[in-house]
Amino acid sequence: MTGYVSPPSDGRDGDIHLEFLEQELVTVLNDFANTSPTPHFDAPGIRRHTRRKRAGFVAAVAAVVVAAGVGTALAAAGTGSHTARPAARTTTSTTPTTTTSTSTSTEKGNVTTVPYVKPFDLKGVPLAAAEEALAGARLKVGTVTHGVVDNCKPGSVIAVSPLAPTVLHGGEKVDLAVCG
Amino acid sequence: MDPGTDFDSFVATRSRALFRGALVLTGSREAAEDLVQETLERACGRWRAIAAMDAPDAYVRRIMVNLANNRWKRFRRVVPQHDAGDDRPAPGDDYGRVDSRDQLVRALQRLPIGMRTVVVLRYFHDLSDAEIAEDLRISPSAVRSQLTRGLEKLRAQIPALSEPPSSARPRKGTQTR
Repeated sequence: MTGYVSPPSDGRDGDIHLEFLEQELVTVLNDFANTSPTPHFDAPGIRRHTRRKRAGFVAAVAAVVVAAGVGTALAAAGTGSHTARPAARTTTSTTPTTTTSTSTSTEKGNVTTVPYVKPFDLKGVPLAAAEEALAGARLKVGTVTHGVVDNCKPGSVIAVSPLAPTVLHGGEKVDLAVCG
Repeated sequence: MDPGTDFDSFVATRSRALFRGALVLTGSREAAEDLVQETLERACGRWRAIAAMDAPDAYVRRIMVNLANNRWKRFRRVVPQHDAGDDRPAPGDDYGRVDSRDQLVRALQRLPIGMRTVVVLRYFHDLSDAEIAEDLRISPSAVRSQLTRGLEKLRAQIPALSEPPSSARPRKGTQTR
């Protein structure tokens, strides 16, 4: 550091004593913001696009629900663009499988009830968050590979394996492909 | 109001402000356009919740700055790179008239994205430490240190800006939130 410089203003209301550099920044930023006209953003187009994505998500969730009752967990993925669709733990009511559920599973005879766990979404999430989500569903992270798809966010999940509608049991591994 | 119409009118009325913010954040028109487009797509996905908020604007801006931060590598690539440390005017061309404000714009684009974001939120969006901290999900003291270091870097690159002229100080900018 070279000598003492006054700290930046803290932005509280009424604070108008800006340093010269700070004043220049305000001016320069506002000037620069005016250097380019605003392009057109197609709102109806964006809405249609979002609806399509949501429809895909709903279909994946429906697949999860259909698979319920057979297994304990299920990983689903899409390979198109950079979407990896949800993986989820679902209910089971018929099989006597040893469940890995946390608190409220009750055993009656050979019927085990596992509380329903909300499906979660691995679409474009950072790797760490995906790992956390899988851990939450008592699945393990298998091999993590790296790759690139159009417009993917570095460090985010772009694909999941096995693909839907494979049924996984607690403790099984899910392979992830990560952007970058 | 019908959510669809509501979103459309949000885009129609607010995309200019969003784009201006994206422009100063990314330093490039193309990157800014991409950033706003993607921000609007995300906002649309959660539009019902956002529309019910007190300040949809602020929330959408938060989506935007966080997107920009998460993808700083991508955006940095788009920003025109100048030779490191060379702000001297190129011999014999228009750059001979380059002034400290142009230098400041370029110096700003060379700041790391996190620091640049804090500077932009403070001096362009006119937010307080606490508001910036909330937007970026960092602590107010982290905001302070990023700001201080950011200004220090800018100052170091453009010595001319350390000395205020004797003229009266203009008041703080009036960028709307």
